[in-house]
Amino acid sequence: MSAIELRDVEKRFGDVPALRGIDLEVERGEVFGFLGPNGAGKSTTIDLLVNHSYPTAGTIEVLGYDAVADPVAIRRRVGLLPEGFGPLGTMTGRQHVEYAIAATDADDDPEALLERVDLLEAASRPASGYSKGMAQRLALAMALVGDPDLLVLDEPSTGLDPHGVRRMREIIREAVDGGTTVFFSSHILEQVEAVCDRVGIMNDGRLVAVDSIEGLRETVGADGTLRVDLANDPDEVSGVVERIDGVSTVETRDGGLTVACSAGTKLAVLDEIRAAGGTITDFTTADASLEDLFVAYTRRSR
Amino acid sequence: MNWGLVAGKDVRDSIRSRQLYVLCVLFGVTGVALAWTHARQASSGFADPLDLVRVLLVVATVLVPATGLMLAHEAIVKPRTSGEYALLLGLPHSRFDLVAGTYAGRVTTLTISLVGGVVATAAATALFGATVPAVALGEFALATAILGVAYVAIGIAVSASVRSTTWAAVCAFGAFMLFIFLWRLVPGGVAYLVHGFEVPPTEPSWLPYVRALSPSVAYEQVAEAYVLEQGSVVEPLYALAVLVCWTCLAPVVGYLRFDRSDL
Repeated sequence: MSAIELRDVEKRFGDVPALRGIDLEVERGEVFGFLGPNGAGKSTTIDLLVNHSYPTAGTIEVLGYDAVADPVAIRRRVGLLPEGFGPLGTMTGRQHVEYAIAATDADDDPEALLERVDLLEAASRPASGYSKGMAQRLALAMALVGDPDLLVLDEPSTGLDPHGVRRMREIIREAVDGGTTVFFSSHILEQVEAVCDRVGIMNDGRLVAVDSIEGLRETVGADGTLRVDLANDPDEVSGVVERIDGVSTVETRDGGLTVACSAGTKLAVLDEIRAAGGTITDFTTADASLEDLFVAYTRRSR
Repeated sequence: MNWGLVAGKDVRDSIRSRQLYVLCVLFGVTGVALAWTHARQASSGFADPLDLVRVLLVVATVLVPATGLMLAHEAIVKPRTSGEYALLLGLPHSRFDLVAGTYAGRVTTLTISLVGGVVATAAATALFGATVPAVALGEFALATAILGVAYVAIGIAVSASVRSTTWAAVCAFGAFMLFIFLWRLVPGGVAYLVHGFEVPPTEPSWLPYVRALSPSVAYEQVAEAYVLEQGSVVEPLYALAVLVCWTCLAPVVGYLRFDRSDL
């Protein structure tokens, strides 16, 4: 049984389509990153998982339960960090966590949870006075109550300082080591790259790619970049480089070439430059970053 | 089913936000002031003990519905728009828990302050040296609590059905005007239409029953029959049933609308 299973899921707000047919399966124990620009449908999808909203069409199963028929069973086993949440009335931070423990019928220690998210010293203050980052950490503490089977985190690093982001990443790792499946959305690519087993890329209500990061690189042709510094005029050899199979773009800049090409052609590029009379003084290579992949996918599907 | 937790949270919120105290003071001060004027009149021989209850009934007809609606009309739409429900519905709660728990919480807050107000009134009456109409006062408290619950119910129905606090305020005010004033004219207007644009020579027998569909009119009938024991226009049990129906059906309507909609 998978942790999350979406089949032909559509969601319209009035006439406006927000999701145009999503099929997605997330396995138990994996960390799944959900990427996409603002308005792509990430939060809409997350809302459907916990029945904060109803699908227009399609079926949604979370941990084997139907999201529309059995939302409470899902909420019992899922820890949710929602987007755009507000504090519970007049409660303090500690009372928030205590409430979550009571509602989940768990036996967690509120102090330990607050300690884990670095919120212990602010625990006696009303959460309505918390900063965005503190509120985010409080909601994470509430999501961790009852050792959930699945953590669903919507833009978890919003408002966090670098230390908070690192802490969040550690907590996700700890949860995964304890057997928890993690599904989180983000538009910050480095974070996804750092913790995810697989990523899904959303654009304009469609899931345009689902793969491991290596897999995505291969699919896009893995346009890494090769930077070559030359002793002579780069324009003399740029024409030769452009004709090599596997090279997509060549730019002449600062007395050298910046070549976008697939991983296997980098050596051939260097060979051809030398054969054409170029004198290489230095070179560096870089893999395609997730950002490059992301841009490639969201452009392509437009 | 986990609505007790929501109800407890709702009552604690009303304590922490001092709403409960403010209401107690409102009902207490009003009751004590009425007790004082009543005691003065009674001491000069112009009032019998039941007159206190008569005055309380008049004041309660306006004050209690207004308070009930004020207490309830934002109770659901506000946490819904503020994102509080996004957090609560990440916990093992259902939408039913939220509506039922909030309703129970607001009913508790209103009832506590109402009973507090009546107790203060009784104590003040005795203190000012007038006879306390204890039984009638108890019956008044009961009938008025049901009236209050009915208006909390209407407020909850409104709050669960709309998506903005502004709309909730507009609808709550509309409900107040409709049930307290306008509804008294509606059955007469219908009779006028049915009778060929003429005032019927005798009031049709169904007319008071339609009029008593307003919880406020029903309350007046209940009060006349059971508290003042002077007989009512409609069957008192019918009026009581109308009040009880409002307390049950209005939140159900609100819940059904809330349950099928996106957060």
